[in-house]
Amino acid sequence: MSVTTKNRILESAIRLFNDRGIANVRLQQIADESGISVGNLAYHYTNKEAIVAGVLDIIQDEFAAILGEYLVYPNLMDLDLQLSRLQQFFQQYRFFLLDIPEVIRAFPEKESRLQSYFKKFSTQLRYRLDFFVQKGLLKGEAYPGMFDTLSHNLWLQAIFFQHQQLLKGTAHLPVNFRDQVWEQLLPLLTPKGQEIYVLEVQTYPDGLPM
Amino acid sequence: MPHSFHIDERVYQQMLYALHGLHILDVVGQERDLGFLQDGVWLTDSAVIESLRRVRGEWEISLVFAHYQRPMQFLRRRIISFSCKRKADLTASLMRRLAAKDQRGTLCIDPDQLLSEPN
Repeated sequence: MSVTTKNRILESAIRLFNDRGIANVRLQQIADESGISVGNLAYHYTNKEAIVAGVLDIIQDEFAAILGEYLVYPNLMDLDLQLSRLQQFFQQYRFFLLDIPEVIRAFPEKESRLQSYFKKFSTQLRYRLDFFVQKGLLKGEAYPGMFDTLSHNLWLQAIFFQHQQLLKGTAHLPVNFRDQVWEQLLPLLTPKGQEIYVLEVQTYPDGLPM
Repeated sequence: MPHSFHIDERVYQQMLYALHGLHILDVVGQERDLGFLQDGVWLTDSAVIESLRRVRGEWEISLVFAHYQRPMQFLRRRIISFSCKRKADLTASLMRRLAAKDQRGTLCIDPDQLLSEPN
């Protein structure tokens, strides 16, 4: 079946991109990993750019789906759920964030869409803080602009978590950025927020079951 | 190439804010929220009267639901229209029997009560 072969090629490409980075993967390796000949591979995808574009489409759709889950539940669990899913997503497509400048250079037409997703993620983080304040789960800003800075920092931590791991080594960092985000939010939670945090977030230390 | 949908950043922010409002306004329901069920309870003890009227050349069937003890408490609902009077008569009769609590028509209203009912 043609669709299955195409999917197999993309899955193999994702595995190889994760292990070696986009630049270090050749068509021959993708063909070997998929268990097909290079000729067969070329029938489905004429070159590596076409494969990367196919992988990017999958990534964009999954990223959009995660962003679409904003405030499904009006509480702390919702943020935790989104962070858990993002973490899983970034883990599944490790190469994506590590190779993103290269991806944007190679596919300038995808730049605006990718940027819009990252912007939306940033906006969601900022607005979540306001929402938690409205719900009485988070203390208000200690000074004007505090939440702008905080949400930007959270965004940086999430997006560049893998870069940090790569540069500093995992021993110096929490296991995942979900914990890193909560470490920053915990001191700002109200007593009600802390109570709900224990109920909703601490109950699942490895992230919500999905 | 499919046209990609783009949403302005400010509009997106307003959407998120509106979504917050949805959750903030969300409050636990009260017993009085189900009051509309209680409001309609009297209809279960109502006499059903069919009424035929000539409207724009057609026979319009209406059903009047009147409380059997307090006939001034009533509700009138238009059901359907027919050009044939016989068909309208038959349908009205069937409709009345379908809607009435007692199909034999023992629940009825006393015309005298209509006159004695205070305004």
